Amino acid sequence: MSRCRQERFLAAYLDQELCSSARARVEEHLAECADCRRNLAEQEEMRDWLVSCHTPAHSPAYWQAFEARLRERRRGRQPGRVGSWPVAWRAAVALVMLFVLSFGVATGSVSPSKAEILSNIPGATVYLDGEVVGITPLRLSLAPGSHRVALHKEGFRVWEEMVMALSSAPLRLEVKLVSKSGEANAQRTGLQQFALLSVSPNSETIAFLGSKEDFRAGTGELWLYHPAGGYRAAAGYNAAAGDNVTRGQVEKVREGLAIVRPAWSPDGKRLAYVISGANGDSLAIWDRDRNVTRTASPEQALAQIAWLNRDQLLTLGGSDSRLTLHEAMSDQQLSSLEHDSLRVENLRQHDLSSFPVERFALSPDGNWLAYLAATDGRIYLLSLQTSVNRALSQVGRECFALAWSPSGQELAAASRDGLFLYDLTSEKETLLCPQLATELLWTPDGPLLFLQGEGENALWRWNPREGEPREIYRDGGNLNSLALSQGGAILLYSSDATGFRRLWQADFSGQELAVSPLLSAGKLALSSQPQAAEVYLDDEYLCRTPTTLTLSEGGTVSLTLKKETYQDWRLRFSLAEGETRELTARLLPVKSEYQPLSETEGEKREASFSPNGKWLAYSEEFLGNSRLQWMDLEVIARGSMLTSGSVSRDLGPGAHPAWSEDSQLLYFDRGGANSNIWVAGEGGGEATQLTISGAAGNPLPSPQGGWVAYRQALDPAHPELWLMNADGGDARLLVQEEAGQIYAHRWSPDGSEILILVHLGNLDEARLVNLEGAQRTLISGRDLSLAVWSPDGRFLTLQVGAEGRSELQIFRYPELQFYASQSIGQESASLFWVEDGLTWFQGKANGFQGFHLDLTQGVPQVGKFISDCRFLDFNPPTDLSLFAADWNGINQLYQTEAAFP
Amino acid sequence: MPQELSEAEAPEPASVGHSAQERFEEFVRRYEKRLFALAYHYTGNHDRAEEIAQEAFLKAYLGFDRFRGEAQVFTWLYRIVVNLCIDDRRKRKPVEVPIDDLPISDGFDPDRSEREMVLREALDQLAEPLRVCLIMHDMDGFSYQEMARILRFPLGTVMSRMNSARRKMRRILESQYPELRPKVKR
Repeated sequence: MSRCRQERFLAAYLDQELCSSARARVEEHLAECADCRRNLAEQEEMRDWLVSCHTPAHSPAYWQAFEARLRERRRGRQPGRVGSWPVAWRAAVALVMLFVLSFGVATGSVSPSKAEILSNIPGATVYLDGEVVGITPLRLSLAPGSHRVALHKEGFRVWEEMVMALSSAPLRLEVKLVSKSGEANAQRTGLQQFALLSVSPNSETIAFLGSKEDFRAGTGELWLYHPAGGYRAAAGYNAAAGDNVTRGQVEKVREGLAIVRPAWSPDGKRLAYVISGANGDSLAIWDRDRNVTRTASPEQALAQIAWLNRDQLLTLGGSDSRLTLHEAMSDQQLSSLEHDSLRVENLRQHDLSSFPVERFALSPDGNWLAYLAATDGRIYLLSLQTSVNRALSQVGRECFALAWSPSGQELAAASRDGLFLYDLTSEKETLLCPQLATELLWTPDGPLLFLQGEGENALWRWNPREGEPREIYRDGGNLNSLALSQGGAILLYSSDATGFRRLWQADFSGQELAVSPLLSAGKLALSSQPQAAEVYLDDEYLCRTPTTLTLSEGGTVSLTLKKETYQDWRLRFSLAEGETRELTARLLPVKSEYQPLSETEGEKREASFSPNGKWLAYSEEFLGNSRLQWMDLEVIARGSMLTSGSVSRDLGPGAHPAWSEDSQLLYFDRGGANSNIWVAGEGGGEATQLTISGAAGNPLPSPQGGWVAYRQALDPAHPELWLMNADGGDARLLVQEEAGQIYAHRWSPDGSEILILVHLGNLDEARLVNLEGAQRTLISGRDLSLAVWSPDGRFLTLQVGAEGRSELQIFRYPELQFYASQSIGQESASLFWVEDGLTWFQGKANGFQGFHLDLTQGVPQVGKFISDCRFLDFNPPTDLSLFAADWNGINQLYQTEAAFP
Repeated sequence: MPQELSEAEAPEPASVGHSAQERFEEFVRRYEKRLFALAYHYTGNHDRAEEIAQEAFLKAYLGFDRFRGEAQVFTWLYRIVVNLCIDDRRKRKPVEVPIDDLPISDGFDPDRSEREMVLREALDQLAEPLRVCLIMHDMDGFSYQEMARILRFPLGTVMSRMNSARRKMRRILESQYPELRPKVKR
């Protein structure tokens, strides 16, 4: 790698961005340096490669219709193309603001607007701008302008919209609340088969449906559960006994879609499922190895899917309820084949469309297709080998499920008239039980499992050896899917009355069924103050508060609440199985001061407000290069910081900025091995070097301005305290500490003494030194830091101790008598004397918090907590604290009020 | 001496005789293509790029009256786009787009499609400050001076960053996609 000095200018040279002299220097260097020539050639190739990358045209129509789209959005109608939620929402808010601006001026009216809010389900709680204002139907008066209206009702999805209230026209909102459990109810009453579970043939993975918000049947996202340790083997089902269940991993395959009927291909490499959309149902096939999903065009109501073999699957659906063969070929779009081109010859010979199919089941050997004809409700058997097609049942019935026995000798049919069994040898029909069954599952050794009942249903088992079927499991909730692992463990998907879902495994030990949770969830009742905050789970938007989240166990999730004008609220947590927690997040408001102050994006290291509050000096580091910036806060306060270059001046490498008392001069050091003291005048003009000896740093001008105290470490192990005139003259050694290190110094307010902190082996010492070098000791102790005088000079405070056992010790000055102490726990990062008390800031939990102790009151007050940032400085006259944060992906300075109560 | 932007880029002052609405429309016409291109190169997604560009215009419109005379609307506008792109990126987890799902446009060129995928993957591996420089200069044609203004970096930082970005990008391509990396002419 080239390490030439000119190397960093190569890109600029290539791009012709250098001035002629710099260009000449680079060319001179290039003539000699083969590394840089090669580097330049590589950069040129890289640039050309990037330049040639394709840029698609933006949609001209989109922009032509831009204005119209804005109006459309304002009216709440959906334009042709709808953006993703957050951007679209922000755009809508901005639009409303825009409308307010333009309209407000025109009307000039401030009289309240009348509003009426109705909902299809009365009794919904109405939130106006995050506050509860009543329940529907509701009439109220609104201040003209934009408002966020939300309706909450138990069991229904939250409705929310920005509305515009005008004094000239009453506002009437008719809200249609949508049930949260609409699909689940339909499932129970409509008795359609919703296969929620599919176990891969090797039993490594279970596909199931659900969402983090609410594991609702039939509307969820597709998830995979990898039990890792396998399932506990059910006795009698040819599996190795004693397998322990270990908690596995859950992964999401597809999100944000209504997915039903997952089905693994016979080789376990593909997972087919149905996506229910507004335009119909689409068949999707996920190739597990390649992580590629192919999706077919939507068609109507795909009622069933089943794999014929590893490449082909049958679907039942469409407006004419027909069987279609799909081919999931490896490198081509999934093709939906018409009947006359069916690959299975014998299927082709039968024009199934002449008698539409309601339901079907493939025999275990794949040679027979049992189907329920829509025309007469009878069950037919079609041989896929001989093309024999014959009626099995003599009577038509409304049938919900068909299932072949493992031997292929029997067929079970769940119908409205009860559960029937057909012996395919004798063609005898037997009524097993008169009740309705919703799911059928044959176990490998003979017994038939089925779910019976609606709502609070139960798992039943019919064993031919036992005669009558019997109920074997019920948990008071709704069991809605059954599957069998390779080892024979039964998997149940269930939900209780509140929709709380679990994946169970059931184990037959003798005659008893032992059921244990395989994948379950806890519940979190989440609210916020104020309400209607956006809830994000693992950075994924879910809903708004208040809400109840059902969360799968296993692993920690990250919860974030966001609300406009409030700080993000974050929590990482996990819920144990069945655990229910209630949580109210108190959101802290964001102040308008949270605009980045800085113009440059290096890592901000130190900062210092000038005493008059007009300037700010800060040092930043980027790519190992430390720069000191002088910033004009008044320019920023006028809002004209966007005019680049007028706000701050780069003073070059620098650290430890310190202002003179009159704010006219900024002292600093250059940092690094050969550091010297410099001073810059008002406005950050040309800086002047004050020392020349090197190793000089931490300049502090005296309060009266005549002197500058600084530390110089010609012997790095023993920094000394030096004093010089404010213009850099008459430098002299004040304290030389051969046995220790002076690590801090601070002027007394009257400028007569300097407090120094000296590190001596395991002990620190605080001493006062006058300008003649005479010393007196204040205290000795461990971990002394942060000395500060009261403004009147009568008290001196020192932080003593560290690692959670810090205290502030206050002494009378100049007597140096102990006056009082205050335990503060964690050590503070910065300490200030403000009016009658002390203010300090502690860095905590990746943020900071301010505290204030009024010495006349005696009890510390706690200021607001600012998260995800680092405290830098505090300006007592303006009560603004300064901090650095990466909130925009770039390290920038922000300031905020300390906001003590 | 700061380099001035070209005539085509220079914003009109908040002149008399034009309503705010008219100026805004002119504003949109003038910058839509370049804004969209920047957002597209940053996000790699056509729809999100249009959303971001639109969002930037909305913000610009709302802040229009803050720019009087000397204010540099376009600098601000591009800065908004960059910030929106960075925000957008932070909010979205990396998404793997199956090759089948990539849009197929007229004159589909499989090599180009593959190269674009590689480009996105390689760009994703760059640090944010490097990525933004590379996209703005090499893909969107911003000058160093413009970038310094928009990104609020010192000019020297832009120079060193461009250098680092190209070198890093090349290393990524060399190590991960040797068959696609640009070849140096000897």
